[in-house]
Amino acid sequence: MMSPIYALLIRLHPEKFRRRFGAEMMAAFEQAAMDGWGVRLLVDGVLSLARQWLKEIDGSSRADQTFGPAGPGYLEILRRRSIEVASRVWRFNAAWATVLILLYAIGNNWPLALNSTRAVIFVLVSLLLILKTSPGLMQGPTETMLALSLKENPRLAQLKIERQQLENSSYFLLLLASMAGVQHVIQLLGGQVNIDTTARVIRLVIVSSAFLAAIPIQVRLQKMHRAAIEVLQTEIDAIRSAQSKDLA
Amino acid sequence: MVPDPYSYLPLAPAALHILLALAEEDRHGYGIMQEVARASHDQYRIGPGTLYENLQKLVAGSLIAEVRRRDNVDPRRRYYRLTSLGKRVALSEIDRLEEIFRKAKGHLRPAHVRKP
Repeated sequence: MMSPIYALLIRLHPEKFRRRFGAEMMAAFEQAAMDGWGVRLLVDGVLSLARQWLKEIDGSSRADQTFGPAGPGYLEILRRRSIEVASRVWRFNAAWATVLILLYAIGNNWPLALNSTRAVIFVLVSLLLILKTSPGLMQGPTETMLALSLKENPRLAQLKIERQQLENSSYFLLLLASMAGVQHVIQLLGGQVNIDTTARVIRLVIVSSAFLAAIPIQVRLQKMHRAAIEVLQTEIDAIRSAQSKDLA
Repeated sequence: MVPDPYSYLPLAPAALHILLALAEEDRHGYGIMQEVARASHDQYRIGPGTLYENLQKLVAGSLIAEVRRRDNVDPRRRYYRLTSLGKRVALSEIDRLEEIFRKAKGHLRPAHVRKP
């Protein structure tokens, strides 16, 4: 039962690594499974998949500096972003991170399905981000031991709510950008293989507007980030000042 | 120019275990996994994913090398050998760890037990 799953995990590894070590990994897995190593082999396989893709993304993102709504790599960059998010949420929600990594790996390993999986991945990723946000990820700078003691501050609570709403809007824009790729699903289901000009224009318009709308949201998020830190700092200073007065 | 073994330190635990597993003889991937488990009395096990990720790094760093050797049991297996550089790096890492343990023992032992 585990063997086909492990073979799929190996298949999802980056091509260069898979070609060099895939067959050997499978041989080692088969022996280890026979010797009763159990489910830990699958966990190890998923972790290996994550590490290999993170390494791959790290290397390729340094080589690829082009970025822009009309650039050919825009959705690719969005996809990379999803796996970067996955690496951050791993601590808080390993299952969710695993889903992201698997989706990313599928999109990269089957070129024929690349565009359609790309669309499906981003619709799923965006929906999941909207519906189920990881608590640790969304806390931002406020989630410190000191912040926990100050969480009753009404200004801070308000900032937190606003931040949550803004981030949800941001993910919604990501969803819009993803929808632009849905045309490829139609291709996969037997639609026209050639993308006509109209589809290209629609896609470009949606992606561009999502990207442009995301900029003010990012700016606002950064401002809120700073405001939250200032609120915290004021409270910390007040506490320290009160403490020093008490000591005096 | 001969590479300085200290420039490879500190080694990740998995990398050190792999180098030690290859110290005695050439082994294939599963052979390394078994040897690591045996040497650590089953307290430390590395899966194929972790193993090959480390083998990739160690081969790239010339600490180990692939050996041309045919395996009659499973043709997919490849054998790996510790290089002289790998041996020096492993010995340097052991020296480094010994030094840490020696200092740690000195700090942690109660004063009346310490040797004068």
